Amino acid sequence: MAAWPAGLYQVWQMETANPMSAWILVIDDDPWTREALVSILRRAGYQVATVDDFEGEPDPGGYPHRFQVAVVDYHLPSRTGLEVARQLRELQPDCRIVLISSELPQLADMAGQDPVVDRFLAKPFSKDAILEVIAQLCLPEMK
Amino acid sequence: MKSKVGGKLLGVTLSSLLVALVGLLLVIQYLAADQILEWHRQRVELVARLVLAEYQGKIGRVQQAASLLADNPSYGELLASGNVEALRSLATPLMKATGLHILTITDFQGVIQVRAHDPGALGADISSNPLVRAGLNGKEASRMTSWKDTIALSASAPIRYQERVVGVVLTGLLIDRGFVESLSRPGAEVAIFFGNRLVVNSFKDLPETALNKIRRSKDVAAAARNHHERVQSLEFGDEAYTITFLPLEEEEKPWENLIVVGVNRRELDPTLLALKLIIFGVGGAAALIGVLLNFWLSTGLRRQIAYLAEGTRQAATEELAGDIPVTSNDELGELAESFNAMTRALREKTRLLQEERDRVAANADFLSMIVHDIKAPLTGVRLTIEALEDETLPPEIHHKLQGIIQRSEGLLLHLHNVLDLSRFESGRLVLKPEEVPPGFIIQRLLHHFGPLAQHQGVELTAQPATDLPPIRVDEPSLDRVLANLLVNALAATPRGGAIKVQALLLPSNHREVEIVVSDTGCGLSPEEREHLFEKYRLARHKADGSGLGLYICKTLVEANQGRIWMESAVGQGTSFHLAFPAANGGDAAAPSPEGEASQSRGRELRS
Repeated sequence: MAAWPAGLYQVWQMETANPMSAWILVIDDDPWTREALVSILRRAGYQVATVDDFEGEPDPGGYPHRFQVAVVDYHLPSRTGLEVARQLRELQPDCRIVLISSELPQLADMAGQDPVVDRFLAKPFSKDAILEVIAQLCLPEMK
Repeated sequence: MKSKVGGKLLGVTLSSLLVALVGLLLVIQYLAADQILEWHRQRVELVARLVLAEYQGKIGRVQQAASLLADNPSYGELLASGNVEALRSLATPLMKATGLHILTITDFQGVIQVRAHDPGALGADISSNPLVRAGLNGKEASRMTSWKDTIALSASAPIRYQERVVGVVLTGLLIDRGFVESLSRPGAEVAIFFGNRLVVNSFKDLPETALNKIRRSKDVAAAARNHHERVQSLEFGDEAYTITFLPLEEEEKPWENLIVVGVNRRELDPTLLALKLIIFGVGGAAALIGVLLNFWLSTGLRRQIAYLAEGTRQAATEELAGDIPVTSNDELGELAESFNAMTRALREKTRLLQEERDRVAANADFLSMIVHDIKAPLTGVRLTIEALEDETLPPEIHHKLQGIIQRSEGLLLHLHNVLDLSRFESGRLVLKPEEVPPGFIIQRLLHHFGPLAQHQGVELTAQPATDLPPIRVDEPSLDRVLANLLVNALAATPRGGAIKVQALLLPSNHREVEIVVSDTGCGLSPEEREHLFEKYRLARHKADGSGLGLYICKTLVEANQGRIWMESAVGQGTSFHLAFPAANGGDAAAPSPEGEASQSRGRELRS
């Protein structure tokens, strides 16, 4: 955990932790969104880690888990979600990226053309929408 | 700096200058030539007068000679005594002394006693000679008379002895070439008519045709009424003369004996030539000076015009660049200053306009920032509520939480309306038309609004016809329009009512797909319908408090080349119709009979 130089790194594990269930990383600076997502994803059977910002260069060896999916907010205090996503991809090439944003609609196109981003979700999205996207991205992994 | 107007201006000025100058020169030349001819004419008359005076002088001399001889008392005495020999020896030397050609002395009967110029014809009776007759009558007389082959200027005087006429002295000068040459002056020639016959002249080598000409012109002059017309121009071969006529003696027949005086016009030609040279030389010099002055004066004008033309062209095609130079302090300069003032005002206006545009754009940016700032926490709120729903909650709490989510949806829709409007008004609304299948859009719409309708107890159904061609629209725009229409319909429809979304192919020339959102709500009165699509209309539905919803719908639909209209009956509900052109002009999607059938059957989607 010391490898995450800045920001808060929290890990929730299900009480009935299923070691086979996928790990999801949530990066968003809004605590309400983070906590709600953790709650929703845990209930759906995922293991979740959250970060409120993604500053500096994390040590590749310092990652506590291998993530299947990272939900990244575009608008982070220190840098954009796209930069974070690229960095994550370098460290964990198998990690799928879901970019969430309330930015201008052009961003959806921009992110859509970026190979780093697997999915784009416009804020505000519903519980069903995020669960569906994550389930789709985890599916090949499960199989 | 090229100025076409300047060139034209120069051309116009120069050509008008030239025309005026040429005209002036011609007038001057005409007047001057006229004046010179007049002088010439006067000179001709003067010469004629001199010739006449010379002629009269000669007459006087002849007359005087006759008188002097007759007054010699010894002549009378000798004649009376009949001593003719003595008289002859006395008279003969006198002829040479006086230069006379003719000297004849008769006795009182008119019989020739002495002929000093010719010894013959003595004793002949010439008393019938008018001059002799006058002498016999005691009078002196002089006249031009014919003399043998030629003519002579003769005079007679009576010789008296003791108060009695004893004889007559007849003197005369031959009018021959020598005579006329003595009359003529340098550059002037003389000819003499006697008895209507041209007897002698001093003209050189005068051909017969020239003589005829002189005769004819004499007749013209004789018929002339005033003195002026007697002066005429005649050309004899190479030489040109101005001639005038001096009638002599015989008042009843003035045009029988006359002197013709011709002044050679050769002297006139160099004068006229010199005149022309001087006039046109001075005129040409004046023209040259005028042209130079004109160039000098018009250079400023042309430069100013060129600056104006260039400035106007730049203002029209490029941008409102800086001021143009004001090079002249006349009306053109004022024009240039006005032009500068105009462009300055335009620049200022453009700047203000740009500022206004920037301000509107900044507003749009600010608004989109606010919307972003609202959306981020709204996500947290929504997800938190949805997370709460997973807890086992009493149904009424669940119901209220659903209500909160739906309200936040409505809030977002308003925010997006405002945002779209500000983008549209600042010209930043980017539309990306794509081929969109209407059925897909409608299903997504139902999927999104299904829970809300269910929550409000309203039946929401869709009937998209199958085989609909795709429409070419900006998808977010269409989503926004349909969301607005559905929110309005949900607000207008009471519990237990129904909302229907249909899509069908419009049977018009231009293939269009029509999407209808109809409700069973309270409907709209004609007054309400009138200003329905206007901005900030008075809201009837609480859900559309700002009155922007339908205005946004109209704006977005028209920006996508679509049409929007509505039909409504009070108490029966309202239906909003959208029509968009089918992609590819609808060629591929001409409705087949099967299509019609499936369209009529419809595919019912129930939420």
